[in-house]
Amino acid sequence: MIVPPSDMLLKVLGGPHHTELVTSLFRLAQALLDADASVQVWACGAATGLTSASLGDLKPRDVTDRATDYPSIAALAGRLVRAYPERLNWYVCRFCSEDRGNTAQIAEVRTRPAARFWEHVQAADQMLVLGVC
Amino acid sequence: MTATARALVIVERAYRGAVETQFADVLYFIRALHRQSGGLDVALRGLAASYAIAANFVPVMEVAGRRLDTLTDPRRCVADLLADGIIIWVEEPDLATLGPTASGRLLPDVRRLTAGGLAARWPEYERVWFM
Repeated sequence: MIVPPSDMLLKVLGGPHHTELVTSLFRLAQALLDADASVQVWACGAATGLTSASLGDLKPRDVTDRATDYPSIAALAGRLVRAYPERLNWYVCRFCSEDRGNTAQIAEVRTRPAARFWEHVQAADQMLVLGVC
Repeated sequence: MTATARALVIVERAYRGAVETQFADVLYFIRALHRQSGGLDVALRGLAASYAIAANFVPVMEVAGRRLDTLTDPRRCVADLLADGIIIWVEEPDLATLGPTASGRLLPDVRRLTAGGLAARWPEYERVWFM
């Protein structure tokens, strides 16, 4: 595979449910796409769980408000990729996904060998690293 | 000191996710624990004290054309906890750290303590937990 060129690589090392990092990731990606930029997301560590297929489309029910549907983070990631098929690619590190038990991924993302990561860096004009593993 | 059956739950790490967390934040689980346990009090410390300060911020964002208005909303959760009869404590120094107007914007019914007032109350509780 030849990595498509992109204006920005968002390398996500931090995981969900600890800080506002994942919200920042989605807001950054949306803002870049709104500005007609091309974007890659590369997820390592616990961030490989963002697109885990086992999350399904919805979060578990809110027992205090069973009528409301809450989209899963995987559903939102998949929606973002489907909305910008030409300008957004979401990659998941294979080593990290195996190490963190997230091997089953949603169809919208592509699993890549850790050893190919540098090709993604070279394909991007700029890279922003979010968090640490 | 008179021991009560209540537990004190201290929250001092704030803003642990919004788009992935939505309703399922720490205050949601504290509310459920309150119902299970028969009653607990909550202390909001550090940045978490800001959960009890009135603000006009509306937690909404857009993802690929979808308006996502189910983001974590700690101020609404604080109101839910108060409605359920949970006592919520905040210390004055934490409010001062959040800015000169923070103290005046503390949500109604949230109880304020002077510096060190919270630790002085620990012996009144059967349990003190950090969540």
